[in-house]
Amino acid sequence: MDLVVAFLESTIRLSVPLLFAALGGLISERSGLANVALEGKLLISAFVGAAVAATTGNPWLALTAGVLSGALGGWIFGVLSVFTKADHIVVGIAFNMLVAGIIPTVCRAMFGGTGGTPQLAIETRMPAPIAGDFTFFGAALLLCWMLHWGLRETKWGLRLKAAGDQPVALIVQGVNPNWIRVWAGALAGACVGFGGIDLSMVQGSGYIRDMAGGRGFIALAALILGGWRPVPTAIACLVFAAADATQMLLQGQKLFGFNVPNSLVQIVPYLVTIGVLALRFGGKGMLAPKAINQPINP
Amino acid sequence: MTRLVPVFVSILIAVLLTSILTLALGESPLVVAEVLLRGSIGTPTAFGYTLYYATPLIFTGLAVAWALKAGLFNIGAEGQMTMGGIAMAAVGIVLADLPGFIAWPLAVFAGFLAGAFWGGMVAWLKIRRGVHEVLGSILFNFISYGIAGFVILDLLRNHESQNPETLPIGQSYHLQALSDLVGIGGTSPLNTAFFLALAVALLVDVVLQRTLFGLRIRWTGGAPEFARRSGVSISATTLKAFAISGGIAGLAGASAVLGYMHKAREGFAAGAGFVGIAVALLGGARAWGVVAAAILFGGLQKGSLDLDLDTENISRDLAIVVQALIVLAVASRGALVELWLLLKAKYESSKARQV
Amino acid sequence: MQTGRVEFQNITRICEPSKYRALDGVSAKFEAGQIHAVLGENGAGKSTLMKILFGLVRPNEGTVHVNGSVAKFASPTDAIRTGLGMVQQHFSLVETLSVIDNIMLGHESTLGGGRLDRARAIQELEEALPSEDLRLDWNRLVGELSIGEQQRVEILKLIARKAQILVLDEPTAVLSPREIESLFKILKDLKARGRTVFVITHKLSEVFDHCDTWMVLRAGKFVGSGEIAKTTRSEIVRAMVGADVPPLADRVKMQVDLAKPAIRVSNLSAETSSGRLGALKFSVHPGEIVGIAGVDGSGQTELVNSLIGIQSFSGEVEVLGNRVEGTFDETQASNCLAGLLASGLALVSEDRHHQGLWMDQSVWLNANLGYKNESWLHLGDWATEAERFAREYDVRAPGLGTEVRNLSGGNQQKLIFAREMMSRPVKLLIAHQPTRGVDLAAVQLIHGKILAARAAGAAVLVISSELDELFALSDRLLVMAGGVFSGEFFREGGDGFDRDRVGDAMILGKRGST
Repeated sequence: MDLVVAFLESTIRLSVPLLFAALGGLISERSGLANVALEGKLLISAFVGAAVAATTGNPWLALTAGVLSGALGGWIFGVLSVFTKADHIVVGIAFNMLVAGIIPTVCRAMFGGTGGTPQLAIETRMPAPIAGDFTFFGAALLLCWMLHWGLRETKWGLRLKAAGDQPVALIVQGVNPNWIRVWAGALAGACVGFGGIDLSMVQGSGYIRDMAGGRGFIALAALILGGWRPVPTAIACLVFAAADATQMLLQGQKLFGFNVPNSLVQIVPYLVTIGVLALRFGGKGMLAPKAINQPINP
Repeated sequence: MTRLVPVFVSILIAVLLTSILTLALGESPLVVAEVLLRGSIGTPTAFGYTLYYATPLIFTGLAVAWALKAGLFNIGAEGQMTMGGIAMAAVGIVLADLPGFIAWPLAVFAGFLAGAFWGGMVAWLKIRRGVHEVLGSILFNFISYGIAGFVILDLLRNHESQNPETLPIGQSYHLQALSDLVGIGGTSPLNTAFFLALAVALLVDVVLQRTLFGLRIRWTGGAPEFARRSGVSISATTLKAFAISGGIAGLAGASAVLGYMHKAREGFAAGAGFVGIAVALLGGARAWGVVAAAILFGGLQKGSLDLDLDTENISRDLAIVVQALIVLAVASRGALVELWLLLKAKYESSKARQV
Repeated sequence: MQTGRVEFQNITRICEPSKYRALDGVSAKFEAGQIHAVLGENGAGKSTLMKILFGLVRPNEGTVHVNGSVAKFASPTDAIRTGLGMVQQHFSLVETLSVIDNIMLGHESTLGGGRLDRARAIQELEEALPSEDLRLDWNRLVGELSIGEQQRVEILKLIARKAQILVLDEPTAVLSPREIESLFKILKDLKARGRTVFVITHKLSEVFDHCDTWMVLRAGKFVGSGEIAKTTRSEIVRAMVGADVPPLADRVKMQVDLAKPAIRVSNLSAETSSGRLGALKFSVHPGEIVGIAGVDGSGQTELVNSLIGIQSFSGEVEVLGNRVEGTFDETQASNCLAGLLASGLALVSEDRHHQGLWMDQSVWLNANLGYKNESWLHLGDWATEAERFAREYDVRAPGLGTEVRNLSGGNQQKLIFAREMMSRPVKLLIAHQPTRGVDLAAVQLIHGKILAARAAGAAVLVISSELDELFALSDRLLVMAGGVFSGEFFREGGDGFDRDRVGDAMILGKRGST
């Protein structure tokens, strides 16, 4: 029984960064901005949040700074992808590289080492009611519902979907879809920012080098698996989080009398992701935005 | 020649932006440049190291460029390289006593096969199951780290060593250091894998430009619907192209595993697969462009190692920043060209008005 | 109070960098509250002129006057505000959104907090509805609508923006005759409400049945204009094609060999996301040209794809004596197609930019792709071959190294025909939309080459949505509608090719399928 509770708790905890990253990615991709830079944005906000907490000691300031840095990162990513008419995937990869290079550089200048921020004291992390496992989880579910509703019922959702599916429809009405994509990128970055903060200030106690560990890419897989729709995407995130929780429970355990090597156990979530993707596709039901990763010439 | 202009402009922009970053961190860009140059081409040994670092980048750069020709984005070179290196080490350990003339070619072939298998699986998932190759490649990268960890830390671990590494490979598998062989590269670990890389570059260029097989790969990438209506099988071409790309990336471990460490150490790929993307985007139009870009980036990596010691605030990670900025600048060269044409047109029209 | 007068004064538009004069000093005047036909061959400049009116393209010289005052639109948004609207040939609809969402997009009425007020939008639209024929189910997804209904959504978008002047670019190209009737009924309703309508077209019959005035452009120059009621058809034809009406190619009498059909199809059925085919049966023999007529999207694409084996189907298909398998397996299908092409199938696909050419490669490479199967490429021979093709088919390019994307549509199409017809002896030609968007001289050349292939004993299948083209070429004409053949006509014997009866078959099929 304890094991079940531990498993569920751990699933919920692990799902939070995935949910924020995947739902943020959803905003971006529905606008037509293909987003393989989720990983980079998780890292930026995790680092900025922890760095601000370490220097000012104010967790609220850190939260704000983390989310804003995610938004700024998303905005820059959007501008670079949209106005240069470059391939969004190439820009996304370069963005991730840039982040991977800049964070240690800045980290060394600020804290003297490239490995991460100093350990955050308990009072500079998110305070109790927020730091509880379920507050961030609840916020992620609220975001999911807001997207689900907002995409259907608001002017904002209408224009976002148009920018992703048929940008010409906006151009002929005098609305520039490129800016919709850029701001969708920024909003996406802000959402991902909550995920980053969760990594370094709720679950962790400070920033550790490459702490996102591929979550940005698993979030992308969840988004694709969820058919670019909020609710199925959230469910996919929970499935992947459960796989990750299983992996963590298995570490150091004996399975059928054998010592299972940790390095093999760690690949379980990725195998599950590949497996689920492979089973899901090859057929219909995909809802990729039609004009995703296509440049617009207004 | 005009095709090279945007490339140089891209590099220039990246240098400019890096300089700004350096200044912001309180260091002089000139000092950084001096450290980078001295560290990369200052001495024969330094240049030997540069070429040593460039060797895996030539392979991974060729792998990514080859796939791009077929319209595919292989960002799984890191994983393919890892699998290839593990396969080479495994062959060298398990069949340690093979004679020299067959030993290292066999290991190289095993590396190619392992990489090709890894790439082929991504292609298969794309063709048969509709999994986008970018996502598939990324996930396979993570899986390859796990498998490599298992082989290095459990299966073939050298328990007598303090380091996370495998048992040593047989003597007959060693690729010779160029300092011993022809006396170049100072005391650097530069080895014959560099020549293997150059040979593969030549081969890739000839196959792509002069053979029907290469033409079909480029055709499938450039005009898939046309190729399909001319009796070319898109799936088969995709599978072959991606598997060969994976195979080329699988060779990238040769320099470190067979030529220097003589074993596989955890993390031996060291990001060469990802830098290969930057190499391919910068120089990928032709194979010699890849070689040139790989040497540039190899020098950057080698030179940046000294930044940790020679500067207060800047670390070797600056090399990654420069590489990322170059990729960004190259990727947006279409916009740069457009901007240039716009400015030119404005200038000409204002001149015309004056006359 | 009538608004909607339009006047063009001395409009010139020069294309960069070719310095080609798309429009050359065009002046014309149009009254409000009428339906005006803007006529001309492909590339005559009619779309460019309308785009200038709409602010999409800026003229190098000249002015546009709307309601007597100079109109200088910086963008389509300005044009919309002044009461202009344009329906492009390619619709700009979001297929994943409902009709009303598409109409609201860009000027949404909201309840506050950004919440869409769809009820209000529907109410406003229904109050402004100028024609009952425009009524649609406002909540249906646009992707589920027929092409004709989608076109109505485009018109509704203009109505919702209170457009007084409506421009429709080639609105009938994709419609069946029945849908064309209903479109013009809507346009007449709009006219009755005082709106001005421009119809860009090259189809004369519609002009005579429905429009009030005509204007003809040729090679960027104004040729003539007038009232329809006071003009004859031949006057306009002469204005459109110029003084020298091109001669029809000679049609040799052929002995058709019925024993060995080049295409034999029986009971062919297929279902794809884009359409379906129902139990087709026909054959094409050496020495005859079989035409397939029909509105775009009636199953022509699926038919061609089945013939060359690149999609799955049921039934029997035999091409040049080889069985084409309907159970689609890519490796086998590509081998089969490669074999057919090598043994004398010439294939001209409908979308030349994607299916017939590699746009950013040279003329010489494109001239040889697919037919040189040596593993080591002898590129020197390729250049010689390309030169031969270009000479024979009058492909005009600055040099053989020119990227084909820089050729005109006509030269691109001639290059494709040259490659397909000259690379080896041709036994069967399948040409899908052989002359779409091609200049008149190229049309003449291509038609001549098709007739020459027939005279040389090849079997020819021409699929086109241009009836004139099919009437000029075919020995036998099959009409396709809703995925089935709805009529068969013969050049000799029977009643010949009758435009009205062929048109009826296109409608009848439609009725049969719905």
